[in-house]
Amino acid sequence: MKRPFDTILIANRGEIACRIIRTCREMGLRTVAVASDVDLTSPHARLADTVVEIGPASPSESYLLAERVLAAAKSTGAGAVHPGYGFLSENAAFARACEAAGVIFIGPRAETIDAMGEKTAARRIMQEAGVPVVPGEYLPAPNAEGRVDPKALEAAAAAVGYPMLVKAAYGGGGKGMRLVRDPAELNSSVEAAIREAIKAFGNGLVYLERYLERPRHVEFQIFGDAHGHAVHLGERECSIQRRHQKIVEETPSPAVDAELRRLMGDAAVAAARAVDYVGAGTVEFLLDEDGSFSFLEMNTRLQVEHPVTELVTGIDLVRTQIDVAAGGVLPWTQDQIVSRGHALECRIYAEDPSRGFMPSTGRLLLYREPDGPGVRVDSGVSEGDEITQHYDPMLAKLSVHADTRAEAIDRMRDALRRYPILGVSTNGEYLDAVLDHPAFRAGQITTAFLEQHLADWSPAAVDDIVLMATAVADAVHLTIPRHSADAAVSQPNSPWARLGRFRLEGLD
Amino acid sequence: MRMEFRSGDLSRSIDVRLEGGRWILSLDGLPVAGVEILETGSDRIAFRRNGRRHEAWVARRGLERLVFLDGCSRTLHIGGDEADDVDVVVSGGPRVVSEMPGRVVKVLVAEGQDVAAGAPLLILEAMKMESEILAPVAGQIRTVAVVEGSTVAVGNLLVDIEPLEGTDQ
Repeated sequence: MKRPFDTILIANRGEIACRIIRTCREMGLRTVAVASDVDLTSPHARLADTVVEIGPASPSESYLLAERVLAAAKSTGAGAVHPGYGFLSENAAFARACEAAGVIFIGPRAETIDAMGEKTAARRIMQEAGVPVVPGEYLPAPNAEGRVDPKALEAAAAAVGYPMLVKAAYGGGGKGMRLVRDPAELNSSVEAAIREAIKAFGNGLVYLERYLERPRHVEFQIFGDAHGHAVHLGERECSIQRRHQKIVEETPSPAVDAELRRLMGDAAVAAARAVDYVGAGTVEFLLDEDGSFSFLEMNTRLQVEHPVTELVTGIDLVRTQIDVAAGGVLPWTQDQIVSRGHALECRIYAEDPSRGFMPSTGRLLLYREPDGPGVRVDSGVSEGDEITQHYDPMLAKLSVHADTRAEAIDRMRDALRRYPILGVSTNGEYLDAVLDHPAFRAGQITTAFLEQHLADWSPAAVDDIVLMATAVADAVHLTIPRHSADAAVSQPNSPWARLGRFRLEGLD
Repeated sequence: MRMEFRSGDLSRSIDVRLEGGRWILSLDGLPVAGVEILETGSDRIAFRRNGRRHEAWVARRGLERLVFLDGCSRTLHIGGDEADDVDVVVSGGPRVVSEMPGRVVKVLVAEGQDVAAGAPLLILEAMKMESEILAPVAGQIRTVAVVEGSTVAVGNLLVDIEPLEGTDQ
């Protein structure tokens, strides 16, 4: 098929921009990165064929500015824009602006983004399609001070009932979200959610939703094309969440059997058909202990956790997104989508679990990614990079694929042990504690898992061997000049042999 | 070569020397047995202990040593007396300092106000996430060193609290 474009602009940064660029390169497409001034030498900017600077570090002055991104597409001859996730990915105005400028937006139609982005409209559509939804109420738009009409707020809160979640209408990823158990906290929580929503999504609209105490979060990957086809690619279990932020995802879900998968998959495809969905999307459900499920929301973008679906299906979702955006027909029918084995993903965050998970900033003094069979790293950082407070603290996604769930857990734990990251604190050790927990091994996971099982977690005491290894490394460091330090690592024989080499190079 | 490490309140000393191609280690003056150093580099050490092979990764930042071993990262502080000047500011006292560079979104207390331990003092935003900074002790607010919109660096004073009498600092 002849594509209507040969150049794609990636309107994003970090790991997702890098991941999209790789697929574009495989497809023979030229890539354009956009970068804020502090990102000009970051991995995504270095990986692309062309990079365009679009403003200062703050996302609201760069990555969120639709006109700058479009101008960059125009000036570089990009015929299509891939928005990734976050930033402009679920911004219908941006999708429309692309269309008006003759640039293909790689994602669903603007009307679909509008319908699904306005989360109550999405809920109505699902109700009409016969899928149960979680009770919820919309709130009027906040005023210039970031407050909503108190009467409307009170009425909505009374209709929803406590406990409830305040959620950003245009949000996702746990940002702009607050749990409210006590009516006294309602006002401050709503205001905090509005501030975060404006910051992260450029829109402060929030809504209230009934909070279920211990559900599972199970979502379905869907795909549609412009020729009336729609399929699902199975589920992702995303129940392991800290403050509504997913940290471990997997597929298949230990709670979903073939029959439930058929029911939920049918509902997800019905949702896709109800809005003539074009491209990749995700239908999120809450799954209760009794096997009943209710629609939560539909995300009209590529999800952060899409690699686990790619690992078990063998399908490159970004490639299919690009083909469908170019007018192509979905390359598979529902029967042809086969899942094999088990995949897990861990999100590696620059944060300090021993200090209340505060984001951690600094230079990545040492950063080495694990590899090997069934191990995949999606990262947007490299050794020497400065991790700043401007952007999301997620450094990378570590994913594994194995025959069974138990083997996937073993493989993930080994990969975490082979993933040294020094210079910022990370959640690596905490993730290992999650994976090693008997309840996780048993597949007994709900969104309350971390609170239930790991609330008291703290890192283990320093083992003496850490001191000894450091002392040996320092002794080596002091006895060899800097320029041959790297050479020494690749000469792992006798230390004398290496010191001999040092004399030859350094002194003679 | 001898190195002194501090980790929390603990202080340890390690002697390291190379003898006949083998690394000889002693910890606090006692020889260490059962550790066989296999590969050495300035940032990576492979060793065997109890019949298992391990790898440690080391990075340096001033007098700090950042070490990764078996999936765990640890920060060690080198030296005895001279190391005091790199001591990390300890929060939990009456002086509440910023542990993160960020921006003050909201100040929730005023000077002269009484607060309970655990009461929210202000909201700090970093990396698009908002965090509540809580009072480590009960007392009276002596100083509020920031205003809404202030940008703060690590270690900046945020709020100073006069602890209630009889309260353990």
